Amino acid sequence: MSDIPAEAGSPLHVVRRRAGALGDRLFHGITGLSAILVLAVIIGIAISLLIGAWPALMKFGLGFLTSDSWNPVTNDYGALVAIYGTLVTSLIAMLIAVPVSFGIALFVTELSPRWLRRPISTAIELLAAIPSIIYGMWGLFVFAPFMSNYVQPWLLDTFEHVPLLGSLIAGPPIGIGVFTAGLILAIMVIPFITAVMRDTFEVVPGVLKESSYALGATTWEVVRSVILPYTKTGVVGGIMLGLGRALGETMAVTFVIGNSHNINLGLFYPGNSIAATLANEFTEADGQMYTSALIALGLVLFVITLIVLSLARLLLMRLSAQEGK
Amino acid sequence: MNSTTQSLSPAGATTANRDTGQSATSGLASTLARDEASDRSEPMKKSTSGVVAKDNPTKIAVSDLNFHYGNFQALKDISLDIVDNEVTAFIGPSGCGKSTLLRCFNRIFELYPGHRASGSIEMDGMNLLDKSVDLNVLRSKIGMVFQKPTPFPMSIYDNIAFGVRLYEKLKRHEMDARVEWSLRKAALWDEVKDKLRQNGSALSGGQQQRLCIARAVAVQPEVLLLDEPASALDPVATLKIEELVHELREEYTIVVVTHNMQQAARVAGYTAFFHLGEVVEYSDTDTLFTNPREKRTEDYITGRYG
Repeated sequence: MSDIPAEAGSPLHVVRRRAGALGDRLFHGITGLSAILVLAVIIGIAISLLIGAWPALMKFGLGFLTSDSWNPVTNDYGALVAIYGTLVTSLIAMLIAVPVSFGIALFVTELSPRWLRRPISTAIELLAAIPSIIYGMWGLFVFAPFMSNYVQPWLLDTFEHVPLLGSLIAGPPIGIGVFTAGLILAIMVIPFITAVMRDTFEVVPGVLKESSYALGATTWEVVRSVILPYTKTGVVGGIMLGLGRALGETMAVTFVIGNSHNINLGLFYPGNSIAATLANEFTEADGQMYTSALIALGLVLFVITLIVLSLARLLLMRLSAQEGK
Repeated sequence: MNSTTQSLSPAGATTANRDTGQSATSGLASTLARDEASDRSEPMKKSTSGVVAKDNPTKIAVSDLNFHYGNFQALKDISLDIVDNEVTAFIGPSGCGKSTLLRCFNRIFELYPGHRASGSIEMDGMNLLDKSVDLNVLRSKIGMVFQKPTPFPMSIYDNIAFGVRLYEKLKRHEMDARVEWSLRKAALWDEVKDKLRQNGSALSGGQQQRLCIARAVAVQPEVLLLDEPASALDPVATLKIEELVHELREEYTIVVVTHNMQQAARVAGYTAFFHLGEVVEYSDTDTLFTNPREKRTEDYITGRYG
């Protein structure tokens, strides 16, 4: 017994402890630095965007957000067309991708026979690994003609006389346009949303599910009342991840959106998004005002993303309040 | 070893052969026969768990039940009767099949592929394992409480109301009354009545478990299955749960799985000892603990097991 305290107080022991403490401090410093670096990068990007966009913002003021003109010849720029295109394509993408991803994630975690889980999961992960330029080329050369030849004429015929949808589903059936861009975006974000949802559904404790099934709940009742509330942070997070990608997606959208600076209610009309405008026009932006207007567009996208993230936070806070937390 | 081929009723294997096939009546008959038998042999000692309802009829009759997890057979030809309005305890070492049997009663095992049961579990003249049984209705009649407290991610009130809403359309004040009633049943009302809108996970472990019991009681089941309901709780909370089980016995048929032999002795009128997927011995709790018939039972309850 007596040799234990002696050993604890021996020099060797003290030295080892010191080395450990130094390692701790070092580790603390490195991880802290990495975290601060993230903040610094974000702030740095915001500042440089602001500086670059300053001339355009000074010239057009708030009118930059509400003007739909985009004229490099007269140096008159407005962001409305690009904002509209960005929001509408992302909205279409989310309207399709969220329910589909939810269904896939639910099927894989709750309903699917065991042997089918891995193939579906792998396919989803492969879909996420395809570079966006591939989606863009596939969209332009395969998907757009398909839309133009089969889907769009049929949709136009079907919804021609339906009051509200009729004015949305309108425009030339040429395959490329806001609608096709939204569809491509949906296909691109589905794997991301699905993967996050699947992972969050998987961490729901089995016993929690069991206890709701044990009350006699059906699968849907368990999902709606127990699994979704339990995983809401992850689910909202997944949707936001998808939305973030959809808002900022550049290559694929540039290929299929049509790159036309016009706002049309009809979804088949070509349009433009912020990211697509930037990708298309950076190389030809010769004047200072042109460049500045493009950077201002980038700033707008940055702010839109911030707003979306804040809304997601608010939503989560309200959901928690409802649960009585 | 006659227990694998014969039906076990709480009386012991000798009087409990139910080969006649009329399980409900024969279960009752065997229970009665048991009383005769015990009168003839030695007088039963006074139970430590209060009044034992010796003449209650059989609520659930299990016969020739086999259970497989994939290729592993977890239950082997189980036959036993669960007595109405009484607490029946399943004891035995880990992996002996006691929880598995419990999970057969409400067929919760069917959530997992590869888990399958064959044989019959009769309640009210119906084989619960029959494919035509409506699982949701079955589970509304047979409530279950699990080892770990599992409050749903919602308010205390909604935790209770969730199950009720699945089956009944209650008016607001009726639902309020039902929530209060079940929380009172679970001896939790006084502790939570001022915070019904708070999240269920804000309660302590013992309170959460009583919330789960209240939730199970709220749908007004006939049978309550308790799967080691106190194993994650401290001694004080455990005592409360045990008192509660004792109270609830008057209105429900309760089956409790426990690792804790003292707990079985305290709450249960009847106890079954499981080992390696078989029921080794099933009798009234007092007899099982003071005068076990089988060597394996004696070894287990005296701690010489293994």
